[in-house]
Amino acid sequence: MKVDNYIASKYFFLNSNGFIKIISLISTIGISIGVAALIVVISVYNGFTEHVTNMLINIDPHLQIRLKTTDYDKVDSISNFLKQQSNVTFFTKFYEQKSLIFRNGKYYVINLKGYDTLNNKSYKNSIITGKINLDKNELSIGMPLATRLETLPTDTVILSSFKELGTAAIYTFLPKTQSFKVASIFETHNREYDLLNAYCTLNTILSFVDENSPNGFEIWLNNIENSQDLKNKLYSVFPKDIKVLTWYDLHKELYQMMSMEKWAAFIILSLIIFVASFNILASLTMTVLKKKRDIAILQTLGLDENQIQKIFYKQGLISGILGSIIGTILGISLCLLQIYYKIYPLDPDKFIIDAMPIKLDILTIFVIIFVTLLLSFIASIYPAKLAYRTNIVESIKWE
Amino acid sequence: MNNYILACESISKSYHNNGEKIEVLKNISLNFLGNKIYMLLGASGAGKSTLLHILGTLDKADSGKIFYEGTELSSLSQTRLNKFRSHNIGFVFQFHHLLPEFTALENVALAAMIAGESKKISFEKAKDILNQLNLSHRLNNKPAELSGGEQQRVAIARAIINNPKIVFADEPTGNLDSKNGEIINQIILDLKTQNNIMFIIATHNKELCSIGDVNIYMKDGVISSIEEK
Repeated sequence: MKVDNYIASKYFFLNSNGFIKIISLISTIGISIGVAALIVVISVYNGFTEHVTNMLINIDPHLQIRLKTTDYDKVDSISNFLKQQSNVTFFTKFYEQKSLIFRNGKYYVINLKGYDTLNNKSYKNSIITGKINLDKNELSIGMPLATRLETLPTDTVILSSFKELGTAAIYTFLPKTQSFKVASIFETHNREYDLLNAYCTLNTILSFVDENSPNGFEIWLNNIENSQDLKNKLYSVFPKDIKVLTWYDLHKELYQMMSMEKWAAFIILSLIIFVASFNILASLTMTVLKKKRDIAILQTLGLDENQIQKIFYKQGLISGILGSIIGTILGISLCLLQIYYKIYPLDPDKFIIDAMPIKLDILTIFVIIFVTLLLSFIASIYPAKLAYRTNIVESIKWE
Repeated sequence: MNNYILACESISKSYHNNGEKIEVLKNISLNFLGNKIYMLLGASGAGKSTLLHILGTLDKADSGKIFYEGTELSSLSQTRLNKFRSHNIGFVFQFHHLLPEFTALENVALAAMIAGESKKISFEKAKDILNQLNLSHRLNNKPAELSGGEQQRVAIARAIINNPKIVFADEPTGNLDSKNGEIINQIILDLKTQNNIMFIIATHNKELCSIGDVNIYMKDGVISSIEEK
């Protein structure tokens, strides 16, 4: 055992001054609380982010290609390119158009999406009534929209395309309207999404809006982490004809806001550790002032300036390490209790989840511990410098 | 010069007090041979302790040189000086200055650990020395649980654990009753003969003076006389 470790641990655990001992204990408790609070709060943020991400990924594609061209040869070459990609599990052409949906004197703005192939898993799983495979002029609408329109499968609704609305207003002719049969009703647990979207086949929508080619592709991968790679690949092969959005790009603002909120919480909660570090600074400074004579004696025995400084750096770090260990155990325990026993449940009538979501992330915990140890170390710099400036002769002169 | 263990040449030291310069040591030159007990004697303020601290490398002189076995100590870096002190010099102070959080055994072992010994060997050596000084029953007692005489014996054990050639002592019996003072005197004599240690002791104590081989009298920062027995 190194002599500075030996002395530092003795001073930390067996400090003869009761007051310094109490301040030292308070700083360790403060750090423990700060670390535990950070782990719990950041894990809740991570849990919510994961939940929202999963929810959105269940509905949205992993990648969306928006075509800047109507050249069908290009569409085919993109289609062939996607078929050759081993990590693409499923892709479909689509066309989308804002439209008005009418029934029983009620009308709503919806986003009508027509798909070449509508058999991806998330769509199939979301159908609650009616048929999965749509025929020409058939629609699948969300549960909240169906409720508002008071419609059930086999009922008829009328759609008017927004594509025609602007021209219709100027030239005063009626926009194109068409009857559609409601074939199925879906529910994705994202109320806004269910209210605003309706599906049909690609052929149906193309004939409805008088177009020949799709305006994009939606792609699902075997691993969501590969989306950026495929995006880059697509841009390198088709640099001018497409705009590619990953699952992150589709809701960039939301993900950025969640990340910003998480870091804001991290900084605010780090203040607990910051304040606790001030206690380390106070207790160590008092220790140095009280132990001037002992420090001088250690110097007469041959301990050099570096070792003297290390004694106090290490005392600060012991406080930080102890606080981190206790705080991490406490924080992880609270998270596990929430994960397995749902100690903080949510009202299922108001929320779509039954308990506060938690995601324990090892990297986040390491960042928290690193920040804690860094602050503890910074707090011990001043006392350590003060210690090594001790004047030996002045300090040993008197009892 | 090479025949001496320790020598100082033209040592001067002054302090400034409210703008006034006080010369504590004036051009002092001394030579110290091994295996002897040197007594620094003189009234309070004569400069005994300051000279002791400068010779022991705890303080720096304004001018002059100190030689240890022919090596000039002022040419050493602070780190090498600390190492030198740890291996070659021991200190005993009037107020023992033991570390209160550490037991007697730990206080002594710490000096060996600072000198670079492993914890295990340091504790074994500390145990042996404390046994020699009849403190085997006090190994695990903290300084506050020891008597004044016991505390000073622990301080002596700490000073000699690294087998130094010189031990500096500043009023080592100044805080002890006559009985304990005699015990310390005897220990110093034994260490001189058995361990071949040179002692340089600053004191007022007449009984302690009696064990000295050389009495160096100081007055107003100069050596007034040297008396060899």
